[in-house]
Amino acid sequence: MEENKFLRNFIEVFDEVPTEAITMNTVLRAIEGWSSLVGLSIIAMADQEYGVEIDDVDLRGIKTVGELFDLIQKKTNVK
Amino acid sequence: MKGSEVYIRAISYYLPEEIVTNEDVGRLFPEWTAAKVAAKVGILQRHHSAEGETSSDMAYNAAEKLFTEHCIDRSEIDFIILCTQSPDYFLPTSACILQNRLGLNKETGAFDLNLGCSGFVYGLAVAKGLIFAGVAQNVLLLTAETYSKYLHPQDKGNLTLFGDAAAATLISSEGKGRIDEFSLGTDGSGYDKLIVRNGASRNRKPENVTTRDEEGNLIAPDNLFMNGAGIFSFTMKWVPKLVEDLLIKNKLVKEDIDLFVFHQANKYMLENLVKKIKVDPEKFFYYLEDVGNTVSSTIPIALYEANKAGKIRNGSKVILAGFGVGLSWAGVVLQF
Repeated sequence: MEENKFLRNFIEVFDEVPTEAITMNTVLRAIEGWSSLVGLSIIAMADQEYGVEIDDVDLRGIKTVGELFDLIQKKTNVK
Repeated sequence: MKGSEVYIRAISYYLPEEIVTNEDVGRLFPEWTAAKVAAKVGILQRHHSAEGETSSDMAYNAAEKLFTEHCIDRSEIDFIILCTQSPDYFLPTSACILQNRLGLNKETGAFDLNLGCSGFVYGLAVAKGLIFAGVAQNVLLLTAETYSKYLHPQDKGNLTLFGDAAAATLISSEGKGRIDEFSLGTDGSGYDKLIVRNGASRNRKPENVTTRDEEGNLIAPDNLFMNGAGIFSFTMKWVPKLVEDLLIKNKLVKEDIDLFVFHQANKYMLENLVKKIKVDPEKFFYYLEDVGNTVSSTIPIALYEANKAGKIRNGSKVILAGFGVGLSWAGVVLQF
């Protein structure tokens, strides 16, 4: 799984592109424009782009963008 | 028993008078970007039941409308099922009250069915079973919900989504939409993903407390709580499987289906399901802009409107799918 492509996919889940630079260390819930609806978009993105299922429990356990990347990668490898 | 086939004969629905528009929601929550949320959930307004107006009141109105609109002789009805999660009383059963209020024969069977978004399809399954077994000939299935009364005044998310409504459907051994094979499912481990915790037997007393989750969403155990991400991921996982199972049980392929009428949860969820199931968007019916998510009434309301819009013709095969609170899901194929 490629990091830059993942970051592009991640940024697209926001209705308005975040003005701040998004890195692997960015804390999800600190991003301006974060809402529970964005959480749904992440679940949809993981499913559509990577074919992996993320649920509410997974999402709750994730703090940073990098942790989301790791989780998706782990789930992709398990498949 | 007249034959082995069971049909939907007629549908009518009732909406309570009060309309809450997105502008109204925006006035209550100035920080709420109502337009943006509306664009995502696809709802412009919803109806709210009046103070003192219960689900059974709305169900009564829907049933009276059915009798008038479709010239139905109420003395033909020999079974009444009310699907609701907001009954008038702990006991007696609201359907019993409705039997009397609607002036139905005393030889009428009556009970309530406690399900939400999957409830209409479950009601069809029970009605088909009753008719098939010769227990009843004409089943009146009423779906009615007043979730607005379960909402916390500060809960803008659920206020945006849910609307109150009731629908009345007559199921008989003759009619237009033949009720074919069902697929039902349950995952009770997710019971707390959509819940009103207090007020019933487990926790009788109100607590009058509120907290917030990590997303800042309000949690009020006396009121309706929905874990949006939990419901969304459940739906994405199980509804595609439900459709697949329905096609197998009905010996059909996706291309045979002329119209998909799903529980109208919200537009965002439905659009994601369309993508995942790879449904031709032209064959997917939406009806939630003016009414919102009316829980167990979304499917009969959408069926009524799809028929009115000319989307259902003789020979049409229609998939119905309901999913949500329970967690519970149910689907069926109708053949017109």
